Amino acid sequence: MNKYLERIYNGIIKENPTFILMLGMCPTLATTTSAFNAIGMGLSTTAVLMFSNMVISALRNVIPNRVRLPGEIVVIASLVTIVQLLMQAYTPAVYESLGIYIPLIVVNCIILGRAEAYALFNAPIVSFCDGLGMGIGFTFSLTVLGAVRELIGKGSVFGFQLIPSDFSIGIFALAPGAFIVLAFLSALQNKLRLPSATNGGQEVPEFVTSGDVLGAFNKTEEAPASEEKKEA
Amino acid sequence: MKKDSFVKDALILTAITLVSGLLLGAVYGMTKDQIEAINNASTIASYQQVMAAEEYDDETYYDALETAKNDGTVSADNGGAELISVVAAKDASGAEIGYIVKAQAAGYGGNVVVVIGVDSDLKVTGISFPETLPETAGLGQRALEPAFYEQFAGKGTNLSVKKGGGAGENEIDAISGATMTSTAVVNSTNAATEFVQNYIVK
Amino acid sequence: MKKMLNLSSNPHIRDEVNTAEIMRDVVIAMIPTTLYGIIQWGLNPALVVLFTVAVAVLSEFLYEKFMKMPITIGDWSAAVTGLILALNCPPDIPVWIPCVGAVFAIIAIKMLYGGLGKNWMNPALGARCFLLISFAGKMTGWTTIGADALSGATPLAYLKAGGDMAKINICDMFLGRIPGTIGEVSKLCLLFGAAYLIIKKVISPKIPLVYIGTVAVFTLLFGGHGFDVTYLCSEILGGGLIFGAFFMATDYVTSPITPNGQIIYGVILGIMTGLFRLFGGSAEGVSYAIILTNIIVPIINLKTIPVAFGREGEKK
Repeated sequence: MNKYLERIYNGIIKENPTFILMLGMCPTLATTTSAFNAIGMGLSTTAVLMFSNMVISALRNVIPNRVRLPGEIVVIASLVTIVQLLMQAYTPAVYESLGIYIPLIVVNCIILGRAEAYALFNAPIVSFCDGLGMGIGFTFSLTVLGAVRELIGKGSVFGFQLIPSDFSIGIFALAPGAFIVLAFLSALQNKLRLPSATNGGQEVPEFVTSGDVLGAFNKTEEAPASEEKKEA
Repeated sequence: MKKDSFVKDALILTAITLVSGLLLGAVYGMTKDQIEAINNASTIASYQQVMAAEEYDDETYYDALETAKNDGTVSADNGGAELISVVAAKDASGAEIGYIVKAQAAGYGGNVVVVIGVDSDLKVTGISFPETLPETAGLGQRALEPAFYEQFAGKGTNLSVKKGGGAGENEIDAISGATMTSTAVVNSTNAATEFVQNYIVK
Repeated sequence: MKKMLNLSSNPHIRDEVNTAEIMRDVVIAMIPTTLYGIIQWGLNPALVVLFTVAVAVLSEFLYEKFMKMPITIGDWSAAVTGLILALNCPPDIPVWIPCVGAVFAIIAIKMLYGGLGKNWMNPALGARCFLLISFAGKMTGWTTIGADALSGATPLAYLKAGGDMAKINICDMFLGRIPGTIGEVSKLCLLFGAAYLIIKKVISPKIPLVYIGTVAVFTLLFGGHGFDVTYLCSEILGGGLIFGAFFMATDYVTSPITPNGQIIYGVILGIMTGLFRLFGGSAEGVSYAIILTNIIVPIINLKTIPVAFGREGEKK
């Protein structure tokens, strides 16, 4: 498949941010109280991801290495604020229910992580697709988590009451339930052995930080990481 | 050499920040009016929920509220409930049909904020909760259920909480297992009616 | 030699007695209070106990079958978990709720971590807290008994809301004629059971006595009622303290193995319970105190390992 589609496939399946990379856990656990909130969060993050990846990639030869992080943060924070203003103006319902988690997208590890690991070393359009893929993967896993939590914890899915709320196990609509459901879904994902970055489904990239968190641990026992850095 | 690259780095960072700032400013200007319209609409909607009216005037009784807050008797009489704001509801001809008071009281997990509509006969027209409640799920959160808050419509001043069901005319059935939340809501309501009684209608 | 030495995780028992016998003794010790709850409140508690135990045992059996592990329901530990959970529920709770709790206790808290000996928190209590959070209203809805009983509140809740002390009847609290969970109300029956366990050397009275003693001291110091004996007795006899101290704090897997550790454990439990009861939002503090202290038991064990004879202690 061409490199753009490959990036999208990568973000959804092979390096899914929630179940494989385990990044962005805080909004994952906090905003999946219902499927609607989860989709709202996922889509907002996707919007920021796509454009932050693209802009940072476009600026990758302009930003000097020493001020790399401040430069990236300025870009990301501005994009998040723009998304926040647009949401406040045109999608107030989602804005109200997500509350403080919209500005918190700035510190979502997925965004800075993909900027550092991918956008800095690849062309803008591919980076855009990488952001899109990661965003869709994030939205997908958030929605699954949100739907499960809403179904068990409130008896509804997307607001449609499927089970009478007298039979709802309330803890799943709260924080402890989020951890429990995430744990079970991760275990399920491992059991089904969908080819992923952590179970041998794809070759471990040479980059220590290129999304393969386990690779960092594996590498320390072998040659030092500096020898394996690819030239930018 | 180092000094040069330092200046160069700073300049590039400044340029990026400048461009981002300009873009932000543009979007802000673009959305400012829309956001204000939405905020006003939601405030009006929350007032409509307790008392329908043509116009809501928040200036006339602003001073009366400040006086009441300074006097402190309303708060002391009602378990420390605090008055936050008051709005006079007017009909099409400009006559006052009632008052909408926002008050808060300490519940179980924090402050419970209540909006109370009081008509000129000192009867409660309804209550609503403008902010998320900091109360326990399954217990205090049940204040949001109609079975609880609809009790308040039509009641008068000096309400009290009744546990175990069978509330009389001046009583409110407490949420089972959530007496503190119920008391907080009742205290806020009583503070609102007392304020209207002593400082507005006199 | 009678047996080969084998390496295994706790519970370790230096006796001919094996796990099943100990667990059976625990069940026997809880029979008096179970019967009292059934007699006082009727059919529903009986159904709750029956179904919760059955579901607990069934969950363990099905899990072990599905995961191709050796079947261990014969050691009665699942039954004990189910029984403790059932006895910790209000008498009029819909039967399906403790059953859900039993599944959570056995599968999520015990089996997923490896089975008996590997759980890091008391399964029955963890499940009880799970149910407390999930079904807050139903798990705190008490049934009144008698015409002049405190209306629908447990004595502890009544006191915490500032109730009149004159209405507290210590005799009723000791016998069990008060609202509460199925197994916690009758201190008399519980103490019979505890005595049985102590005589049979299944549990040592150390942890319970240190625990209850610490709660007493804490209540005296911070309760706000000074040296009022009635108040002190009502705090000790109230809620799940006696039940928790003798039957749950003494669980082998989740309590320390060293003698000093056990004393420290009892003191920490007492302080936590006191804090939760007196300064926390709810009137009852035993459940959360026990599961939270369970989590630090490994550290207590580590810090209180006695120095082996002939060796020097660690040089600081």
